[in-house]
Amino acid sequence: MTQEEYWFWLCNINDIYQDTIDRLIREFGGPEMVFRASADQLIRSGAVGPRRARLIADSKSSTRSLRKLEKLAGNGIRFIYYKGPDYPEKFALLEDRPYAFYVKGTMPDPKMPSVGIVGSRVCSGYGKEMTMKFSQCLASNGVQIISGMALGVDAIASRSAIEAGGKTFVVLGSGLDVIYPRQNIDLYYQILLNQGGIISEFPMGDPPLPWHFPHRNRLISALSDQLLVIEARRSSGSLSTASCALNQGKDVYALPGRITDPMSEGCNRLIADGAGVLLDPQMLLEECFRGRGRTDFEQKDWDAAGPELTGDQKGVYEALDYQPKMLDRIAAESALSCERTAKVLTELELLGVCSEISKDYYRKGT
Amino acid sequence: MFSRVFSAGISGIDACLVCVEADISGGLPQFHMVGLLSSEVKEAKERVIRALSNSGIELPARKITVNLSPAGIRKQGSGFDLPIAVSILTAMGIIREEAAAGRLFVGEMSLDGQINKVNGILPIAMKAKEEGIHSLIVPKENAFEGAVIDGIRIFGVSGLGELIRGLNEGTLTETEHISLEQELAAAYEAGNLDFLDIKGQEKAKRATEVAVAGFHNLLYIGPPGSGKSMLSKRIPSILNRLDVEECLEISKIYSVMGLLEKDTLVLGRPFRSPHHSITATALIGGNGNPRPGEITLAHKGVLFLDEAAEFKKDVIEMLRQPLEDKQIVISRLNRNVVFPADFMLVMAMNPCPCGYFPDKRCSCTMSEVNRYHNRIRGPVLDRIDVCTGTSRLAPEELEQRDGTGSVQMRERIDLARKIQEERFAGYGIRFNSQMSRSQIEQYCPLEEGDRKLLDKAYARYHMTARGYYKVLKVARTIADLEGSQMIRREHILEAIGYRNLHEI
Repeated sequence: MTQEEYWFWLCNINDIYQDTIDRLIREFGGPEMVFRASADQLIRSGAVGPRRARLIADSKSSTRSLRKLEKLAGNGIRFIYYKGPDYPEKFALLEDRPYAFYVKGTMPDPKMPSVGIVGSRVCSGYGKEMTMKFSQCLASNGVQIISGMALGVDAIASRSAIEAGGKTFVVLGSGLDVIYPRQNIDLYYQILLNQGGIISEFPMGDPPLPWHFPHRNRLISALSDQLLVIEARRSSGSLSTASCALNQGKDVYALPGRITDPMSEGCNRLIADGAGVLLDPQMLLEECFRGRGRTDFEQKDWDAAGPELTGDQKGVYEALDYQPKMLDRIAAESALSCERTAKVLTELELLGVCSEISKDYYRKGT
Repeated sequence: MFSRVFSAGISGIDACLVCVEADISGGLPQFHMVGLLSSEVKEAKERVIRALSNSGIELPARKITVNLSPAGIRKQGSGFDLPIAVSILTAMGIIREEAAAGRLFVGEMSLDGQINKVNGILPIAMKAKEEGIHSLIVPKENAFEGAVIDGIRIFGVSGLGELIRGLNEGTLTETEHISLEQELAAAYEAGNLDFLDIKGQEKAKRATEVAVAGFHNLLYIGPPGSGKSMLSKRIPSILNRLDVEECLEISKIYSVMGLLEKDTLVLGRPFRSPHHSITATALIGGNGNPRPGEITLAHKGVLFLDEAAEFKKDVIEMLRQPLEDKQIVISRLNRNVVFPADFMLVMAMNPCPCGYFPDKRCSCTMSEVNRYHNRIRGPVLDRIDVCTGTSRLAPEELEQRDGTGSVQMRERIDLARKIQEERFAGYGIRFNSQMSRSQIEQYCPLEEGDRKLLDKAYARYHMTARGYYKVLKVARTIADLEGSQMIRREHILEAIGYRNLHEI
């Protein structure tokens, strides 16, 4: 058996995950030694209990896992293991590094800056707008966008990066062949088509179990040089990504919000705790490219003036907010009749500057 | 001794003529009734015998045979008591034969000889006129129903004694003819619900106006307490006045169902709002002996489905065929019945299960919201052209006084209706909502720039071809409301604003 096969065997035993593998490797030094150890030796080492020792022993006789390894290549999936030739330095530095992981597509280029963008699954119009702007602005300057392909901010960040012609890399909380959430199936293939990559440390076919996600989060932050938290409630998964990033010594930036807004509570708290404040992409770009000798950045997506608004359109647009607002309110604030306002809103929507969220509720942005 | 009088039964919502014959002949004393009778008609025997006896008339101790013909049609209902009694009395010679001949009798009898009201007198009177029978004797309480039909004489009676005397002496009092035209005009003026009662909601009112003008089906989406029911209840106030023909058509249905109010026909357009627990049969009609359902009761009026997403999915789907055909055919083993069902469908629903989306109070997830809307996806949603939101009033709006009222709305709608009538004369349709694709192409010409605008919307909103044509139909109606020949940019913009966000 090759080194790769030993690793694949060890990382594909039922119910044996990161922690156990970590203990085994510390005790025995490598997967080959684990393979050669008897069940008794495994138990005596203290790394596993009798139940897991039996699982490990039983799995040795099966060649199933090795056949799976052969199939991976056919599906365009690479198996990358610790100390292997392709193992990224960013992971090797981690204390709780994954001993093996799977990649479909490419890995982020370590020579280019990469920024992680994470946030709430249910984001506000403001969060959506800001995610798009930051992601587009960074991606169009060649920054690689790292995210988690969750609903909401994650997906918007990746989509915007692709739209801006940039690359995006996502880390999943399930096996690579389990596309979760289902709604993002188009994004999954878009990422691959646009020279991005999809990464997971979980064996093929693993479902998206809740405890997978904190593990996934540490890899998002590990791949990023900086982490942006767009919107987060007080107890949000994004905050766990932020604390991973801080532990790994990465810079964390949070998007400030209104202090009364529960969607921004997590972000504001991060800022209070010393996170960077996301004000504009310029300072972020400078930070990204520090030491890479580049100082002029395009900001066309950021500064892009919207379409020219005329007459009533201006008043109605000003009455709009990033929070959905009822047509009656918009009409009252822009001092126009409901009938007229409705028509202007349709015009604005066709111009792509506002959108109807629910019947007769409009908000700024698309 | 033999006699024959006319009567009538009800089948579906129409009457069918029945001859009641009595024969008294020698033999063992017996009372026989034949002619495919249902149990309530069989029971007539006991009621008639006791009623005659209690009016002081003893039946002769001979063989009495009563036949209801044609024998092939099943006789149902309690209206045959009176003709059976009259035919026996005529055969006995108590009523003069000439007095009863050629007349039509309907009525239920009490044991004391009193004549009680029955359902369906209006269709019976219409049928009688058609068959050339010009004199009807009916229960006094029902006489008004027949009194609106020109060309027939209607006599209301309340007791058997009074009837016998009246027939023999020719002193029956004829019920005075009612002029339906005047009654309808008076009722229309007296209509008490007005859109003026609704403060704010200008968008929803306008959408309602557009929907009514082109007879488009309508969907209100709004949080609880935002006036969806209030708006829909006022729709009859802007529908056009009932004409005599329509009034008779509707009243006929209500007469058969026994739903007419005391001494008056249905003078306003019906507004039916069945609860969401309704079964499919109660909605579209049915039963072994088919009875009209809510959609038929809403004929020429409004069928309002509040909390539309709470209705059972299969019940809502039942609306598909009547919405298309304007009638419902109910097929049973031994016969088919056709009920008219030409109604305007108005539905109301919350924007999400908790009712507050997209407000901060809403606790629903996006997938819950979508699932909620999906409950009325499909063929019925396809037939809804106008969709509008409703909002709770802001405090300052409560003080507001100057809203749009039914009178103003009616004026514009009348104009639009007139234009549509001229446009579709000879096509067999009356409203923009009924246009076929080729008619849309013909009657909804757009200028080049406006066509581009609509194409842009088509792409931006991922519309279907159906959605595209819906916008055109609604834009046509909006242009008609203004009396504009061409569909202009602003008409299209407004029409796009009435599209349903959850339609694919």
